[in-house]
Amino acid sequence: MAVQKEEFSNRWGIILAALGMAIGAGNLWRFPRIAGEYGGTFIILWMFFLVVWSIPLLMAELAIGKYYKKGTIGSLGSLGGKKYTWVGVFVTLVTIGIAFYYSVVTGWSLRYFMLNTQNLAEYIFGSGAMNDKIGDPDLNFLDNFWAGLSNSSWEAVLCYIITISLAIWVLGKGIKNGLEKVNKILIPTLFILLMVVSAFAIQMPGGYQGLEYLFTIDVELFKDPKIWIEAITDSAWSTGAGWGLMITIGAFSRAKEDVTLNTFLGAFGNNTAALLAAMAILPAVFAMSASADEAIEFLHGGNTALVFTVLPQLFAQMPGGPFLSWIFFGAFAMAAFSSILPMLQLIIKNLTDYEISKKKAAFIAGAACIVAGFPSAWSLAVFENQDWVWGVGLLVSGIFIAFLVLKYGPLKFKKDFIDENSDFIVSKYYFATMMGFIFFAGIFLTYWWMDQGYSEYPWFDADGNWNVFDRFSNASIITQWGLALLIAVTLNGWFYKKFVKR
Amino acid sequence: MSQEAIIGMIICLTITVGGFLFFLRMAIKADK
Repeated sequence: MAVQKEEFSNRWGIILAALGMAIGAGNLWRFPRIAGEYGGTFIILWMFFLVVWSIPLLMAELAIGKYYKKGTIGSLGSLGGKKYTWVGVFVTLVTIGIAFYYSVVTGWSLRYFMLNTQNLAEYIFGSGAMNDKIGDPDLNFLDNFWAGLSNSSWEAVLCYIITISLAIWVLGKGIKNGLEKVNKILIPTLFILLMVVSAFAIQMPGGYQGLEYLFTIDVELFKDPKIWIEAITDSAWSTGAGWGLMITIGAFSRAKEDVTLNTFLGAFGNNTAALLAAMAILPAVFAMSASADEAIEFLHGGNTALVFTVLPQLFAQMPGGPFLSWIFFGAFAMAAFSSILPMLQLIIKNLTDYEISKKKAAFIAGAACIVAGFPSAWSLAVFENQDWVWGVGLLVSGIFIAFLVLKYGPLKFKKDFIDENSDFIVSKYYFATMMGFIFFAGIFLTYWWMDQGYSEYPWFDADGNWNVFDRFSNASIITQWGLALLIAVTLNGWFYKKFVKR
Repeated sequence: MSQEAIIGMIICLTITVGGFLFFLRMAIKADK
């Protein structure tokens, strides 16, 4: 076992890191949109799947990292043995794939925060003409701004280079002085900002309608399988279960840390933040839309459209809106930044396991994100493709991690990896059953998402060619996963020698 | 707000926020 000197100071360092990892753009742009569409029925199922899918998987990941004190390749390779080191490599490649395009999200969040800062300053000290432009739907200011930023924009490239450089600077300072210190500021501030926007939004005339949509439980909707699938998928994506990020956080935890309680606290904290975000966004959208139908239409517009075009326009139309919009985009930027940090840390940890110095590893991770994130920054089509391919890939990562735990023996795994030093212990049968459920439900979910038919030609185009360049095609998914698996399986022996045996 | 929405809100917030506070309290106690 490699000697690991860097550690979080205490459990709060781990919990804040877990919260920072989980609370990201998805909590602010995906969860409120889906929750608004399906209401309380979805939230009940989403809470259920937190306990059934996300928490057991996160517990397993944190325990694996804590036990082996290595990055994702070394830890999962140690658990699976020589024959299955490729599993850790695949999980790592999927999360690296996400880190590359997520870097761009952090850049966008910075640019929108700057836009809102400029608007607020002009609103307070100037004529407020900029706010009038943002709020006028006929001028299409935000549509044009977003179209310009998301396609062939050097501004977008510059913004994500700045955020990645900042993240690398933070991580270069180490776990205690970098990640832990920044999270101590970011996470409490993020919660406070969300509470402020939520309190304002609920008090707006008509804002209660948003809460009505959010919390009404329609028992009939439980019969709709789509809601069950949306709920389990959102829980998996939102909590970061299966990403391998908790393995990385676990690798820096002290030997006596409590796996179970820390996981439960982090997971429930993530859901609390998501509910707060929904209680801010939905009342705001409903209060500021001309009708409930228009509000629902906005929610159907997609993640980026809701946050980058609809919300700022709606905020601009209300008195004091620029201030609220500035707070919201401050929270959005913080959420995005707090999530890119552990993704970069995952890359750095694997590189330091390979005995590259921490500073050099941080530089390589940052440079890789800047170079490989460029296509997603330059073209929205590439961004959407990467989000689709690696987003669904996370479900496969979850299946693989559950597989390794099942292979080890889930009851034995719980005793050996989880229960030691735990103040709070859950039933071993709960853990074992959930691992089996994750494995089989994960296979079904992967099939279901691929079967959604977002592409007109999922496998072959109209001319019969392999439809790899269609952003939402199964051909694109299989090709990119196939490449990742090919690298992982072909170099399995090398990865074992360099990351596990070493 | 309708009665169904209020009931839904109480259930969802009690479980999620209540759960968070419960585990937070447990962690603070365990640290003492």
